[in-house]
Amino acid sequence: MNELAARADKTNFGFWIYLMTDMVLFASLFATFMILKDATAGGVSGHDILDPSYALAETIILLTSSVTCGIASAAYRFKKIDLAKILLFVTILLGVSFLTLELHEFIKLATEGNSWQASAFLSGFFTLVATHGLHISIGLIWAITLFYAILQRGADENLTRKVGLFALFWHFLDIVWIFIFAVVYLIGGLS
Amino acid sequence: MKTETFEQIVSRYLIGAVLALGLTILSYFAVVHHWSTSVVGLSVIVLGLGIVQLVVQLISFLHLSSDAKPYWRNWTFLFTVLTLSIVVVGSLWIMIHLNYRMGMGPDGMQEYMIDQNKEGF
Repeated sequence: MNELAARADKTNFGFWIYLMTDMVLFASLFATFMILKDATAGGVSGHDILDPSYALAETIILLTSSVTCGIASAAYRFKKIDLAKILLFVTILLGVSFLTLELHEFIKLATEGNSWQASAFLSGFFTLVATHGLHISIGLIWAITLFYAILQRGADENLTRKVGLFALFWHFLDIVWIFIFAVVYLIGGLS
Repeated sequence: MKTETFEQIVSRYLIGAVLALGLTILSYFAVVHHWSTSVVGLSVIVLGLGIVQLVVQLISFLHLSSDAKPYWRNWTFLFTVLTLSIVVVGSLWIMIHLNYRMGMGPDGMQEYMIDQNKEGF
């Protein structure tokens, strides 16, 4: 194994370990949400405010972006630069649409008096979903800088590694969202 | 690690995408059309489909099955799953059994807390 490949391998594993610790962070937020989901303090419950159809649209958008991002990373590795550019751009657009839908939902809830201060249920909801949203925002900034770098440099060995790490991060966020969709929007919306 | 061609990678992603989409829509219909009458039943269906989708995405998107010896990614992943299971199941177990450990049911607990509130802290 040459030196560059060995370094890429190490960075990859280090980033993987970061994702694993991030998973534990999300697990604690999931546990908090599940415990507090019926503590509505006489206010709205999950059934009143959570719309499974709206969340399904968000889920499909994020899943599609996960696929386009993964194929973009592979295309870049195989020196199909134009395809990589298009797919990364589509990923960014889908990510922005997802974030817009999420912010729209948050603003609607907050302006209707159901902000994170209204009950323990809403605190748990906002903390869990917004932590994921924050990760998505950081991921989008990362994706935009990568897109700009690809436009500037074209094919680049060092950039290939970075695009691969970003794809890993984005896949991870999609997996976390599957459980937010299941636990918060589907199960949390039952009662 | 086997080296895949670009076409193989794309087909791996597309198969994963179709399966993930199907599982997502399935869990959505399970809740919207009330496949089970109980909340617990529906929760089990939805969580089960979520875990199946986790496996699908791990294999087809993260390509976890291609981990090379000594399987660092797989082992660290399994250890993390163990840790987070303890965090989630342990927290739920403790919090759900709080009233029982206090020697009273939910109603008794409610009354006790109201009394405590009247007395002040």
